[in-house]
Order: sequence, then C-alpha cells, then structure tokens
Amino acid sequence: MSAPFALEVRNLAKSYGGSVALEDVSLTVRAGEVHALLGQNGCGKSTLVKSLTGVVVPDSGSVDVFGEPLAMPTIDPHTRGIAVIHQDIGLVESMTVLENLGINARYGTRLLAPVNVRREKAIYEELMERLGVRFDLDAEVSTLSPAERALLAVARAMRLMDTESDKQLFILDEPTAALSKPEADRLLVLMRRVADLGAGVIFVSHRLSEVMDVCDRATVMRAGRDVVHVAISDTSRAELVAHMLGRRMDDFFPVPPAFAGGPTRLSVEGLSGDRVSNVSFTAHGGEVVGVTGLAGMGQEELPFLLCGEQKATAGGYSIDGSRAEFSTPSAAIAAGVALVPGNRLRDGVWIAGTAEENVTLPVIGSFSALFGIRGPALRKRATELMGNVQVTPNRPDYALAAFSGGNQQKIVFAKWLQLNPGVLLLDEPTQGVDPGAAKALLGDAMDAAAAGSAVVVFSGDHEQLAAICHRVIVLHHGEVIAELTRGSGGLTEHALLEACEAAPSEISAAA
Amino acid sequence: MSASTATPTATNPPPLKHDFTAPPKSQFSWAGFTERWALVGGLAVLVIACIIIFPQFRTASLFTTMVNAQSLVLLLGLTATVILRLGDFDLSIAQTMVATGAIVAQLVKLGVPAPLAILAGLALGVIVGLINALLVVRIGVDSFVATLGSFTALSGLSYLITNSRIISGIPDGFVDFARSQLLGIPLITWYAWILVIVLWYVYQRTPLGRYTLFIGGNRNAARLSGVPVNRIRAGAYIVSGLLASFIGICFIGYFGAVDPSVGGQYMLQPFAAAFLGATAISVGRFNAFGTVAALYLLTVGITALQLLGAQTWVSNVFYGVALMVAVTAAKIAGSRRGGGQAK
Repeated sequence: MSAPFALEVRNLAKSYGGSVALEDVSLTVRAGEVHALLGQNGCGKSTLVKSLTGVVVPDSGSVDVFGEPLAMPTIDPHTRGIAVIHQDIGLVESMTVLENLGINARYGTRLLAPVNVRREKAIYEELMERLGVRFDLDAEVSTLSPAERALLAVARAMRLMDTESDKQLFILDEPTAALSKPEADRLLVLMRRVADLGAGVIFVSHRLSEVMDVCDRATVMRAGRDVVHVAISDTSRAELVAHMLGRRMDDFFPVPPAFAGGPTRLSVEGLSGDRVSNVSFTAHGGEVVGVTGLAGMGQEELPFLLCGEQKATAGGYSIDGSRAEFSTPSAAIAAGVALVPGNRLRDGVWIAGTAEENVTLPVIGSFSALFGIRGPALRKRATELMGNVQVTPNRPDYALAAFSGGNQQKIVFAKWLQLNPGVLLLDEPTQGVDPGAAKALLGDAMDAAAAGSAVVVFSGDHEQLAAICHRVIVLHHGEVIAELTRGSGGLTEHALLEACEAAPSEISAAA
Repeated sequence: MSASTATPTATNPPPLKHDFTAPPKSQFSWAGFTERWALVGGLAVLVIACIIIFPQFRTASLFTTMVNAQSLVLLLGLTATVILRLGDFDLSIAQTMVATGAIVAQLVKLGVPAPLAILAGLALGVIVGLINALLVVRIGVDSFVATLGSFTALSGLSYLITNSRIISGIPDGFVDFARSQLLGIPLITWYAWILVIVLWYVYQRTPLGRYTLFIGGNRNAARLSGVPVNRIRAGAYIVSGLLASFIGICFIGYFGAVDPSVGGQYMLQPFAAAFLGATAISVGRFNAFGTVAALYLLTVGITALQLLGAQTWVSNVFYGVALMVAVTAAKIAGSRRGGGQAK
C-alpha cells in the first residue's frame, strides 16, 4: 500500500445558498486502486465529482492530483489527467466509432488540417489491444450495445490522457446503471485493468455487489460528509448500506405478498414487435411477474408494446379477459394499464414542471370546474399523493428538477398508483436509485400487488427480481426461453443469470 | 488512512417523520416575486417616467393611440403563444394574416358577398393549419423549417392574389368591424383583450392548458401519461391558422387596404413579445398576460424614443435588443435556479 496518491481531497466544502452540499469532505485515492464512492442520492457525490471537473466551484478546501495541487476552479481537467465517464456517455449515434473516439483528442490534428485516418486507426488499435477490447472502428455507434458504448467511452478517455502522461484519474459515474450483469462485468473487467495499468479509478455506483466484487476501498458519503473510509476486504455489504443510510438495513428488498392464484389480469398471446417475437405469458391479480434477459433481448420493448405506445406486428394481449387493441397510451390507461418508464428523463417526467403538475397529470381533468381547475383541491391531492410515497420534501410547488432521483421516481410512482391500475408495468423501477428509496419504491409495488394489481417488473437486475417476484420470464432474442417460479429454491439470482446467458437449446424448458 | 468501521446500530432513532397531512406552507420569496413582476414593474416605472418627462404622455389620446397601434401585433403575439407553448413554432401566422386579407379583399372586390369572402378567408387559415399539422405532427418535420416554408409560400400567394398591387377600397363593413369604437376604444383592441382573457383562462385554469405545457416540456412523458399529444398539437396548428385568418380580417379593416408586402414586418415582433412575455408572471412559460405586458413595455419604450427624436428604425432595434436582453435574463435566472440544487 505504498502506491502514490492519485487524488487527495482535503476539507472540501460547498454550499448553495443555505443548503450544504459538501461539508468538510476529505478523500484519498491511490494509483492502481479502484475506489468506490458510495452514498444515497443527494449525499454530495455528484457535487464532489463536479468540483473535480470544474463544473462546480467549491467554497473551500484543496485537491491534489498526483501530488500537485489542482487549481480551483478546475479548467480543462483532462490536462491534469482527470477523465469523467458519465452514465450518459455522450457519443453521437450517427457517427462511426473512429469519429467518436477522436473527438476529444481533436482527431490528433489542428482545426483545418487534414485528419490522418490511418494514424488515428493505428493509435486506437494499439489502445484497444492494451485494454483487451475490440471494436470495428468503421461501425456506426448506433449499432453498438449499451455496454460497448460504455467501453468505448473509457477507450476514448484513455487516448486523451495517454498522450499527456501516465498519471491518470478516471471517474466512472454509474457507468453500469443501464447495463445487464454480463455487460456490466465486461466494463468492470476493463475498469480493473485500467487501474492495474497504474491509474486511479473512482467508481460511483448504487450496485453494491459490483463494489464488493471489484473495488479495493470505499468512501461512503452521507448528507454532504464523508462518513467512513474502509477497505472492501474489511467490510460487508450490509455495513456499507448501514453507513449510507445512517441506520441498519438488513433486507434490501421487500417480500412479495402471499399469492395463491388470482384472476388473470394480463394475458399475452404470441405477441411480436421489432425485437419481441411470439411472447406469451400471463399475470394474475396479486402476482408479481418479472421479465428479464440480456440487454437488447426484448425486455426493453415489451413494456411499450403493452402500454399502447408501440404497435404489435403479430399476436396480441388481453386485459381482464377482454382483448386489448390500444392505438394510444391513453386507451391503455383507460383499460387500467400503467407504465412507469425505464428512462425517467426521456419518457417519465417534465423536469421543469412542478411536482404537482407531474403527479396530477393523469387526473387533472377531474379537477376541472366551471371556472377552471380547482387549485386548492389539486394542491391537497398532490400533497397527499406525495406523502403516501414519502417524498421529501413534500413540496408540490417545487420544480421536479429540485428533487433527487429517488424522490423523482417516487413522484412517478405516485402518479400511477393513484389510478389503482389493474396491470402495473415497471420498467427498471429502481435504476439509479439508492437502496433506501429503492426498497420503499418496491414496497409500494408490493402493496399494489397485495391490493389486487398484476405487477410486471422489467429489469436486468436479477438479484432484485429473485427477491420480489413470484415468477420470472427470461427472454432471449425476443423469445421466452425460460420461466422460473418462486419456491423450492427455483428462483435465485444465480439461476436467472444462467438462464439469461444460456442459448435456447440448452434450456430444458424450465417451468 | 483511518479505516473506521464502527457501524450505526439498529437502535438508532428512526428518521424524522414528515407531517404529510399539513398542507405545505407557501413561503414568500422575494427572488420569485421580483422575477414574476419585474417586467410589469418596469412597464409601470417607464410609464411614470414618461409622464414626468414628456407632456404628450399626459394625454389619454396618446395612450389609446399606442394601444390601438399595437393591437394587431398583440393579436399575433397571443396567437404565437398557442404553438410556442407546445415547444414548437408557427412562423406562418403573419403571412396567413396577409394572405387571408388579400383573399377576402380580392373576393369582395370581385363582387362576392362579404360573408362568403370571410368564410373563404377563414378556410384558408384552417387549410394552412392543416398543412402545418400534416408536416409537423404527422410527418415530423421540424416546425421551424416547415412553417418557414409555409410563410414563404403564403407570401408568394399574397402577391398572386393581389396581382402584386395594393388593394384599397375595402368596404365600410370591414372597416367598422375593426375600427368602430366601444367606450372610446376601437373594436380591434377589444378583440385582442378578449383573446387575452380566453387564452389566460385556457392556459391557466384548464387541464388543456396544463397538457399543452406538458407537451412542450416532455412530449414522450405526456403521451405515455395518456395525453392525446398529436391531436392537441394538430388542433393547435388549426387554431393558430384560424386565429391568424381572423386577424387577417381585422387587418384589412384596420388599414382599409391590403399591401401584400407587409407580412415580413409582422413576422418577428409577435415572437419578441411572446418570448419577452414568457419571462414574466408565469416565469419560464408562454402566457397571455406576460405577452400583453411585454408588448406594452416595448410600445411605450419605442414611443418614448421617438418622442426624443429617434427615427422609425429605432423600433426594430429596440425590439431586437429587448428580446436578446429578455432571453439572456431568463437563461441566467434559469441556470441560477438549476444550480441551486445539489444532486
């Protein structure tokens, strides 16, 4: 443990107006180490990362990078060897891999000088060799999977720093949030390799199993302070969560309600779409059904087929026994189908609107009176709805952007739960949400099931599915290849992972 | 490196419970208040300053003249907000106005009964709205480009209809429709004020008003929440076209003539008023009263400058600079608010 410090943060503080985002935070990351930065949404992790990259100017404190002080505010962090890879990776889909790779290295040339494509290619071939990844440099980025894009972003950052020095600090901000387990594993392997090459790596993630697997040390933040620094080998997952929450949490997931058969609420028969093909399954009132598969295997498309947003090419489905031919989401909603979309910012919320405007959108019509919307009644409803799912602060008049990710997701849940949907579709319901909020959200979904809804959870998080589902359906190239049922140990994280990775022929139609 | 591993225990007190039954207390915020009313306050200060400096401002007739002269722009600015709220543009409204005026005037001149001519004019507005809706909503063309196209095509059409000449001799009925006075104020100004009230009601007090904002804010989320997004967008383009052709009928009465080349003059002023208006009252949202306040602020400012001896070109400079200042202020206010929240 005599490696030099890649990063030393000392007594960093930042407040916005009256609210404190960082309070006396200190942190060290060694070269060659993967360092986990953990904490609930809103604990100050992002502010810390933004301070390092110059997006945020800290009020006090100092930062050393490889032993040399970093001037605040940071200008051009990449010249100091700092690269941040965000969840939102920032690639242009319609351009090729090579064009995307070169952008932050200015294509190795001046503004109006010609780009030496052959030399560019040689540089990246060599770089990928070192990292142990392979890309077709002429492929369009739109053809790559989410995991490949994440790997690409790492490679891109490597090039930039490669030319300057070997003193490198990578900050990966929830890079695996949108990836399935095997894809995430590829990225984690790459991350490890980058660290082994001598760089310091900060890994921000809500997925603690990954942290336990791949990180050397962890810093846990809570309410703007660094509450603990610990070597991963000296701690446990439960202990990390306890530090994040400030209290013990022994169960990360709620228990699904007892289910002993119920009316069939959703029956899918031979449904096909762009990726999904000939999918059949049922979900009953009171039941929690999981749908999983590797990324791109169809579980992203299925919720949109079921909520009327996308047209099926063949087959169909029925809701409560009557055949559903929804041309629009509004028809599906009228039939009792509610979708909590996986991409909240794109499909779920109006981020500049107030919490009240977001949460009451589906029912606003019922608050209309002769002289317009009844404002006080609407405000009261919004406050109740947000209280039911324990949004903090319970301020319907705040813009949605003022809430943390977990609270935004709670607001989206509240928006749909008020309709008492017969079929509740949850697409990656806890993606990017801290464990405390995740458990509360899933608890709300379990309550909906207990009240008679059929809950369908689409997710790549096998641990979660194994914990909360009565049954899980596994998709492979759009087809159902396995169905695992709870009880007698048949539904475990491990079994789900195996089912996902196995080719259809290898699965003995497990039921 | 001290590795503290002391773990909080289960006996920790539970997190504070929020009293969810109590309605949230509305906190009065000076910053928010200032932001909402800065434009209106600026208008008041400007008017008072003008009254003190210029003797002309002490007559009621100057005010009615200013207000009346801007009624067409106010009507167009309000119409512009219909589509702007949805996150799109309808640049074609000014030229729809001129083309409608040209058709109605030409038909009346050819001896067609006025009601029929008016119907033909309104039909033009609906058709323009339908075409814009087809391109933007159905096919998905960028609204700025699509309506710039219809603007240009309509301007050519206006020349065709009028044979590239100014049509004068508009019948008295049209002139009375726009200019006859009620309580000393011409009808066209009343129309604009009625439209203000109607749009205020729809925007502020109805679910439809919220749907339009939501569509402008996040179209996907609105559709997935069951809002009939495409129907509302298409409907809005038709309403926009219809309103523009109604303004066209006011337009020929107001001027008593149709000049086919006048559309360009009316293209950008309404948008300046609408964008400036979005920085007031309902901050960050296109709204009716904000548009009114913005337009009157611009008008008083320009009038004052002209009384100081400025030439007519000053109005365009003033509009342009005011618009740049307004959107800059809105942008800075927005980023300040966004930055105020730790994530």
